[in-house]
Amino acid sequence: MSGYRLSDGGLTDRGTTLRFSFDGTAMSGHSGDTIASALLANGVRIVGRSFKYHRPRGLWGAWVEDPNGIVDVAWNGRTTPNLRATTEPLINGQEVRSVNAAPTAAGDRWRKLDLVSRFLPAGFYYKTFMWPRWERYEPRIRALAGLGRLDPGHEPAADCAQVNARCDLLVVGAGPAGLAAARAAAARGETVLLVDDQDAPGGALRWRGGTIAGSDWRDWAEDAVSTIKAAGGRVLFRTTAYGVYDHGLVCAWRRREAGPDQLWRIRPGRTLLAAGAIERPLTFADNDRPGVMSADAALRYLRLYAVVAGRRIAVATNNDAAYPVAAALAQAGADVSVLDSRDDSLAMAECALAVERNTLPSAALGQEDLTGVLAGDLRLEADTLLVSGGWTPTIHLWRHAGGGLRYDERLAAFLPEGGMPAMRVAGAANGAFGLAAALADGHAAGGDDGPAPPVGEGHASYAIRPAWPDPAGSGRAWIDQQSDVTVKDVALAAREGFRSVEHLKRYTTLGMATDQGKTSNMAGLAAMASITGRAIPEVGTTTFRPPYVPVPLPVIAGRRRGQLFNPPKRLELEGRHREAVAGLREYGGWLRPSWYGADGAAAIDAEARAARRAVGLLDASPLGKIEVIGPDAAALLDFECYNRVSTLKVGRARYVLMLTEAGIVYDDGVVMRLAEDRFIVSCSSAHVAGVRMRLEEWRQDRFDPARVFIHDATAHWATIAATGPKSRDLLEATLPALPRQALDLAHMAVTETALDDAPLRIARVSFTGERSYELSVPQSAAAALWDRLTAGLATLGGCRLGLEALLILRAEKGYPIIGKDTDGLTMPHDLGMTGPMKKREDEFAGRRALFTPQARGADRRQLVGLAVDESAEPLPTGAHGYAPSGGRRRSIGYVTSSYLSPELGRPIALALIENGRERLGERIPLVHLDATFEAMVTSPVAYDPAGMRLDA
Amino acid sequence: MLEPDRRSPLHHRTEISAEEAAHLRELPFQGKIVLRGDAGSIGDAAADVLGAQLPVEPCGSALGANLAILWIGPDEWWIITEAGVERDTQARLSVALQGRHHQTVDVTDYYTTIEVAGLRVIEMLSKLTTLDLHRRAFPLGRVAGSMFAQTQATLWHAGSDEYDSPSFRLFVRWTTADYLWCLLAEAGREFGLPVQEPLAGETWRLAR
Amino acid sequence: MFLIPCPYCGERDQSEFAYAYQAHVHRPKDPDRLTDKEWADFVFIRDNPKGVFAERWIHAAGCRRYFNLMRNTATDEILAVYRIDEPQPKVEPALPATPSGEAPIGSGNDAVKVVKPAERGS
Repeated sequence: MSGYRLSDGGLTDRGTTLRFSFDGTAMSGHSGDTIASALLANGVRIVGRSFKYHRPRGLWGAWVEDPNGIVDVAWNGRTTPNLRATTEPLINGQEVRSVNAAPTAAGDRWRKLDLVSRFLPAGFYYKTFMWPRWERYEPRIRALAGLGRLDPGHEPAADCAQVNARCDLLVVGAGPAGLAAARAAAARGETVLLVDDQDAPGGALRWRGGTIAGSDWRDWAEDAVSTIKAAGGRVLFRTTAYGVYDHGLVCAWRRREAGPDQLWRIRPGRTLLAAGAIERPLTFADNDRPGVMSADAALRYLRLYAVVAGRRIAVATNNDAAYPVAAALAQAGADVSVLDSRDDSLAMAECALAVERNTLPSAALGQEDLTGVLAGDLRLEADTLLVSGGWTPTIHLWRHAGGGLRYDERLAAFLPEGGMPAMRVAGAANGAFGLAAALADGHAAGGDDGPAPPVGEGHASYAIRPAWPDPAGSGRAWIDQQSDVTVKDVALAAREGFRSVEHLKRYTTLGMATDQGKTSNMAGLAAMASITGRAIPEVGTTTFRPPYVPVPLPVIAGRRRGQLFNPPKRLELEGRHREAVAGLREYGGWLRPSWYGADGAAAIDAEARAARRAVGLLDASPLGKIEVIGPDAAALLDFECYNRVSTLKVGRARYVLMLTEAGIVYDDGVVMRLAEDRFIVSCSSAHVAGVRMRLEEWRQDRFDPARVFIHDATAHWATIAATGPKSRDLLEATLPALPRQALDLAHMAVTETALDDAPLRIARVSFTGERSYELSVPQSAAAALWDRLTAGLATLGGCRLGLEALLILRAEKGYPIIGKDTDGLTMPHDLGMTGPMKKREDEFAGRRALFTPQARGADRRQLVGLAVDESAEPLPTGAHGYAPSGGRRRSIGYVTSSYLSPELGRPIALALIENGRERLGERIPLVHLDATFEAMVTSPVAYDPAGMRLDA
Repeated sequence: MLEPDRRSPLHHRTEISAEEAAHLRELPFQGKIVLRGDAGSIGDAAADVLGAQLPVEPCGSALGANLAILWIGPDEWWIITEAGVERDTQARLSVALQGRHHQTVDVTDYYTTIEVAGLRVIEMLSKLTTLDLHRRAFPLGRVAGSMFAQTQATLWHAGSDEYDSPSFRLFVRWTTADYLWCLLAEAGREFGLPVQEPLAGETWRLAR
Repeated sequence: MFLIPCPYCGERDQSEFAYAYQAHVHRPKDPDRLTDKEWADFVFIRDNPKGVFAERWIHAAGCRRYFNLMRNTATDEILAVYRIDEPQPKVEPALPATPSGEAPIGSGNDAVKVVKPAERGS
């Protein structure tokens, strides 16, 4: 317990005290704290346990780079697992719990697991628990691991908006380089969007400070922000640009205090990446001890939160950037000593503290907590060891976009290489370390050729001497703290042949933890380079993939939940159906009545009977109504349809199939000819978009687009179908103004008339086998028409007809539903429709495919009926008919539709059965799951095979 | 009589407003006629009926005699009329264009019109569409079909509201009008629009 | 999501478009003269190159026009857009390949390659 908060300083609001708990212990912090800064201020050292060995883990970083501070946070009765303590704002009342630890991080009952760690190298679980089956061991092994615990009661609200944004220039990072670039571009009149994941501008200036253009950096930053806004730009804080996608799309997660988070989808003219750099660890034995921390993070905790990481602090570095940290902590009252791998440097020369030259730590001392540092023969007592192994430019987004990299020996880092049309990198991310260099780089990247703003003194040197992991070092030196990967694991991977950096990653899980290797990847690939005798650039990096930080799934899901998830198409008459107690379900994208009444089964039965005996009234509005008009309309439809359309007389309708070029039935429907050059294609409701696309493509590609036009008018019309022997009576009784010739229409005839002032189209088309009228009126007149028709139902013994009863009625007649009673192999002759392929000599879509050996084969699956005993249950849909074949069962097809027919009083079924029409009368065995059945192959038409009822 | 009972798809909603920030209302029964044809062939005859030339600039529009003509595609326009005169307009077009290849389709009831306007209207719409609505890219008169959340709709920058903020007309399908109404209200919630509860959904599901 | 320049409406988000497969696949004039295999090739066999590919799209949510575009499938760079009645233009991928041979732009899922010191010229 050694972190503490100074009595003044920092940017937190000391006027507000926030209460929270960690692993059950009550603590407090201030508004403006992160959970991590509050934990450190309260002296917490062990914030969690490692994934594999349950080693104690302390805070390493202060922001997104930290691998260790993973916590479950309960607040307002809900627990959110696996939040990152370093970036999560402290809120009053949070109950914070460590992960991979029970009951507490400090007193974890599995902490002894580390004693057997030498038996658990990389790949241990895969190798050991292969026999007989991994699944046997998995539950118990998983119980030991797995980070946070999910709260099943926590369903986050689906209230994150997704914002589509455009700008001339997107600048990622509001540090000195980003601000300078955004400022320069805005001054030239560009619309700039500047995003930064902190809650204020400045980047590292916020804790490293500086003088720009002659005054405090804050004045300059404020001026930059107002310049951007004045030019019509925007500045978004607490916003992380986490990925670059196709054609430069940048996605950003915006956290907001007032209101839900947002996902920003940004289409910038160009993007400037000024995301800074992340400090690297040093690799030595037990470098994962709580108390070993990034030097820069310690400065950040000090300046932003006035929290000092420890009392007795050793600073170990291989570059000059750690010296301001040492000086600041000494000034804050800590006892600070410095170890430097180098012999001399500018910062070292100016340093007022004692510096051990040519020295780096070889081991961290202590058990659960740091007690000292071993550096060769030197032994230092310390409760905190701050390390700086140099800086890794944050080039993730550049790599997402496909930018190249080069390895810079002088900076010991991968830097952006080459150009991309729409993206640039500037500042520390581009290797421009130090305030002056970063400002100049950003200023130029913003498009200003003039001199960059001048800076004050003291930010010049970096002077790194690389210190990579030593494969020969003693003890266990950690590379990935969250995934528990050591230098020895890298060596093991190399020995076992996993020398590619991508293989190394997958074999050891290096860099696969929630921090995605922000601090471990460089050390890992450097270790691999050293072990395999290659140069660092020869090893290369693993693939950078979005997201840069973990993004909560509700942010990505957006508003899509409940009725806003995937909107069904709504019937105009939905309200009327609900009033009539309809069961409603989605059919082909439409929300439609399944039946009317509280008892579904009874209603379906009654509705099906009423349609056969009296009249049923169906809302058939979703039926397709695609208008095809023009002198070439008939020719286009002849090509589109299996059945010839051009021979259709005006005022008549024809049932047609439409085929794919492979000869497969794509859809069916009714084509009506309203005039010589005007047709309506009434395809099935689920295929409207597809049929329209087919027609449109042929129109544009194969026909003269000026001689035929296609327009979908489906949703303009509501269609109400009256079906049953008393359908004519219903129309006569309820629509007395209807012209006589409309009532007298023959089967498959169509006419356009008017009812009062509304246009009305009447077609004698039947999907039940009974006399039927389809009445189509504009949607706005549908309710009035429905009301009049329904008013006449009771006296005639009719009723409203739901989809489920309709499905039975059409199955009784053997009418197939394309896609249900057909599959991806069904051709028209499999449905018994052989006329057009025998007679038509003109070309139509799919014709050639009907004359291949496959299409003519004797083993085709044909649509048939299946009959079972009257007392039997209906066959399960999907049951396979089979033929015994060498002690096994060979499928000969399957049941596509199966119902209990109310009218016939027995089960009926449709099936696609191999060579089915040859098998009429044959009894075939069927199997479904573990049950077997027997059925007789019949004609698909179970009811009124002569078709006498159409004009009854 | 059917006509006096005409219902619009959003008849169950009423205008919602967050003062100058955003307001939303349905303009029911606006006439909508699709006109297809080659501008060179039908343009002059159509202009005689409509009182304006068919706009040929992509995504443009023109104002005619109490109507607007929107460019939808290179051979497609929408004629937006006042309520009730669409069939007359369609009939007059048919007469004027007789003998020239064309198609007119009444889609008045295929779509309804949602007027959405206000100071924050572009921010609101940007939550639903990927269209660039910056005034440079989407000036007055501009028309574009696009996806709005999960459904297709056509947006027209029709004018300004009483506060001199942009006013858009969104032509939405009858079948998904309520969905977009609710999402627009949701998008404007942070600017003060009231929450609009979506219509109820399925009442049953297949047992598993 | 791509940004696709519709030849009629200008640059729009991919969500407005539907993919319609390879361009310049002409339906045989007289299918009866084709062997079964030739017909099957027409129906089923399409190119799938890594590199420049001519493909057909429809601006489904916009002007509902089919058009063709040339796309470098390795980078998703769109190299040309043209009407379906226009001939296929000659294009060269405008961007040079990186020294390691990987395409310089893309969807962010190409493997990382870095320039080897020996290969770095001036």
